[in-house]
Amino acid sequence: MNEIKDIEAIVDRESVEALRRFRAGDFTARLNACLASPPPRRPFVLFHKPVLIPALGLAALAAAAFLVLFPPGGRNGRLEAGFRVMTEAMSRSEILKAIEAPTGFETRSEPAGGRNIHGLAELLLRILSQREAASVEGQAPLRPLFSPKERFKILYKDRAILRVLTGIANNKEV
Amino acid sequence: MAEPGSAPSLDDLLTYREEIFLLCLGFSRNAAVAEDLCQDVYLRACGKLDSVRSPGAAKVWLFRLARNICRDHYRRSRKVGFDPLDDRADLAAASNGSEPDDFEDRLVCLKSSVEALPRKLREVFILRLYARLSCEDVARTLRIKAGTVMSRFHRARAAVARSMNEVHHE
Repeated sequence: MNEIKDIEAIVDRESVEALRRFRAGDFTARLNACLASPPPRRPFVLFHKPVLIPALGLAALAAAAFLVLFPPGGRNGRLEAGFRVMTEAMSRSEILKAIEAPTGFETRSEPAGGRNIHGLAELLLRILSQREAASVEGQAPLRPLFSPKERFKILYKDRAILRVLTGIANNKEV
Repeated sequence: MAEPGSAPSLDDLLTYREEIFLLCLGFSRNAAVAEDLCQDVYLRACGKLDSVRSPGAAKVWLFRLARNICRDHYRRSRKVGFDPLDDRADLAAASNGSEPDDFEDRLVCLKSSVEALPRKLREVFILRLYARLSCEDVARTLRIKAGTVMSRFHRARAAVARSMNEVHHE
């Protein structure tokens, strides 16, 4: 019986904390902004951005995706800027589509062990969201976000991606 | 609210946004993903409002749609086989400076236990505990009998409790 009460208490606490964040994000305003403009140019706001940023054209987004995946000289600032444009303007699924467009990768049906763009996008989104949260709270510098095991997994998939991810995660200035 | 016999409006559906968000939270591993999923649910719902035959069925229809979207997301996230980052950083941020305790560990443990449940048990568990639906509403959402819901919920809760208990004693 105690375990069952424990489960309910954990779920309650998780729900309360998540709802606090959800309510702060003004979901209705976000949704109405999405509905106001036709697809694929829907302005999406992820991670509680303070302002809505109009979506760019697909060509610009594809270019940003290309910049992330194939860095010219590994300049992390530019990479981050490119991805920031995407994260501010698009939903998660739209980001993945934008990555697919210039690279020709199929992100959804990639066999295990292949280049995992979905994972890359997830990681970058998490990094950016945590960096924003930290900058709001005035915490700097950020700790590296990857464990050695995660670093190995990324390394296994693509060395270039590893460089990008660790550079952004370590908050490097280029 | 919508007139009887007319299609529900978006505002009608938005009254359930928090429950839908919590349902998405139950299926996903963190709140950011849950928000994305919640937004997807409403965007999808807006395009299909006309397909709701009776306004009284809108709630069940919306939860069924959310369940399907979450299930698709869950399948995809398993298919690509990428381990998500540790949620503890998110959870620590979410706890907003509260006193340190083992909540984060227990939550990670709970999420793993729920994820290990068979799909039918997991869905009932999430709909009942996270989305806080009644047994009758869960039954209508999943198109099963209320008795089956109660039975599955009981089994799911027991399995999660057992799993957490095992981890606790390791």
